[in-house]
Parts: sequence; C-alpha cells; structure tokens
Amino acid sequence: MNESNEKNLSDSMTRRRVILPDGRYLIFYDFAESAAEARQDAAKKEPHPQPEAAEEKNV
Amino acid sequence: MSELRWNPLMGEWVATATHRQDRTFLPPENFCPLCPTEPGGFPTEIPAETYDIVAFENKFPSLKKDPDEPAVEGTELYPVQPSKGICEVIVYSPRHTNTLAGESVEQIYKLILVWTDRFRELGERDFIKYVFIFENKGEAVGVTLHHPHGQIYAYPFVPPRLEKELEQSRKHKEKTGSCLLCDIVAEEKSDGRRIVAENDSFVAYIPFFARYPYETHIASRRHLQAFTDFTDKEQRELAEILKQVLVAFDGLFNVSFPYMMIVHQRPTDGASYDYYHFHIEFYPPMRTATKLKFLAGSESGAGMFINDTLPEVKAAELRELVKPVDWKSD
Repeated sequence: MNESNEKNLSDSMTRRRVILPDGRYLIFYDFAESAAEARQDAAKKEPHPQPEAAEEKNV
Repeated sequence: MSELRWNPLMGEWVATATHRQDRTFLPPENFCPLCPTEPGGFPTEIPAETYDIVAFENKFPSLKKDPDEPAVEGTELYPVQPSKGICEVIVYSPRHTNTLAGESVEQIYKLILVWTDRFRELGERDFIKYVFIFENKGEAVGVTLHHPHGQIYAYPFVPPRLEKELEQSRKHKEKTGSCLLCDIVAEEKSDGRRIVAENDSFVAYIPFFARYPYETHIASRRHLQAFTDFTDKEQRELAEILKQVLVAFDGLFNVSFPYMMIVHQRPTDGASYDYYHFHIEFYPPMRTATKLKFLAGSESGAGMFINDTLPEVKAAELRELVKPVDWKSD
C-alpha cells in the first residue's frame, strides 16, 4: 500500500491517500478532534498504564 | 465490459456495465465491505480499524478513468464511446447500522467538507465535465449495501437532467433578468405553505411542482453555484438543515426513510454558469407508511409525473417534525 500525507485542507481536516493492491485509490479524511479522541481511546486500551496524553485543544 | 451507447431517440448516452451485474448484494453485517477491517477479521474495502470519512474508487464502477474498450462497434446512427469517468464511494462513518439522519450535525458538516474537496479535485480533471454527488438510501430505491454511504459519478459530459435545468435557468435569466431558483425560493417563502425548514443560509421546501409526495429541495439563499462557493457559515448551516430534514423524514412513519439525495451544482467544464443556483433534491419513494410511489407508465414512458398528494399538506406534516439542532448529539 502506498501512502502520502497531504497538507491540511481546512483548519481541522487532513486527507491521506493510499493505493489499494488492485490500483484503486482510497482517501482517509481525518479531522483533528476525531484524531485526538481516537488517540485517547487507544491510550485507554493500552495493557500497561501510560502517562495520560495532554488534552488537545478543539479546533 | 462497459461502454457508452448513444440513444438517438432521446439524444443522450446510456452506459452498459456488465461487471456490475454480480456486485456485492446486501451482505450480512459481518461481511460488510464498508465497515472497518478488524484485526484478524474479514478484509473489507477499508484497510483500517477505524476511520472518520473515507472516499474510494468504486470496485464496480459504471465509469472508469481508464475504461475498457467498448464491447461493440459503433455506427453512424449508434455511436459508441469508452465509458470514461470516475465513480467514487463516500463512506459517511464507520457505524454500520447508522444512517446520515442518525449522525451528529458535526459529522454531517465533516461530510460537506469532504464533498467540497471531492468536487474540487474531480472537477479539476480535464475529462470530467460534471461531478454528480448523490445518495441512494434504502432497499426501496435499490440499495445493495446498508452501511451509510453515498456516491459520486464524475461524468465526461453534462448529464441530461442537469442540461435541462441549466437550459431552463438560462432562459429564465434571459427573459426576466433574474435567477430562476432565486425566484422559486422567493415564491415559496412568499406563499409559506410548502416551507419545511429554514435558517440564515438555506431554505428547505416541498416544491410547488413536487413529483413525489415528500420530494424536498434545499436551496441556498445566496445565489451560488457549487460547494466551493460556500462560506464556513454556509457549510455549517447546510449540515444543520440536512439533519433537520433527514430526522423529519424518519419521523413521518417512524421508519428509516428511503430516499435518493441529489446534489445539483454547476458543471466543471470550465464554462460560466452564473445563472445557475446550487440546490439539493430528495426523492423519497414512500407515499404512505405502507405504500410506495412507483415510476410507472406516465412517469417512465411519457415523462409526466402524477403526484397523488398535495405538496402543501405534505410540507405541513414534515414541518411539524422539524426539531432544533444539537451539534454534538446523534
């Protein structure tokens, strides 16, 4: 899978394009607030306690 | 195999796409191709454990950027062209059993940002003349995947219904000096009986000439032609009014309401369409809780729709179901 991170399209949106094995493109649209929530959820699922991530400012 | 075949009777193209005949059809939830791919689980179209919104090239496209050679040879009466274009699937959220009506206003706003980006990127391709954004929702309209999603067909020509709207808009502007849809919105506002919802930037109404009992249009108040003309406030207020209309639809018969959602914008062929006006049209097939409106002889064969209901009555039903928006709740 080939990836390229592209610049922010607006204050809170980023897009990440990948090429699937059959040659089609797929674009992940991520939003800063959603990404922060996903990181916090992932940290909570860690088997060993980790220092809490700094709370991110909502964009 | 696929190609574009010319219909000389109607002066329009028809696409054949035989590879679509065997496309994925109503799979069980644990084999949904639009869900995230769980570790060790069924590999879906989306190689991620979660996502926000995803856009990808349709696996069973009606149009391709590198199309196959036509399956038949054309003639002078029946020209044939490769079916060149781009078909995308836009997956609204990772939540399989949700619908756009069930998503938060914030998620709908994010979708509008994605639509804007797709319209801009696809419209910049020199072989794309029209970027058509739409959603088919519900088995009653022929949906084959339940996971909440829409599509984009980026056509190599301006499709027939848009050609007609553009021509009507252009003639109205020439005759009266004003925008046709601006005048329609003004008349609907003046009458008031068919208004469903409104905010600073948009008006939702069942049009005077509605063809389906609950056909609903959402038009921008400001005269603009495409998503790329929107301000941030307009993007947010479109999300709000979409949420209101979609929730009202579901409240009519307390079922997840089937519909076709159609975004009408200017073409992307580089010409000027300043006489045209952005709007969204909903075609819901339900006419009662238990009956559908079918496109039968008059609609399909003659192009004349018969509406068994009065738009003024149906709009009043919908208006009663419109609720204030809350940005964070589903």
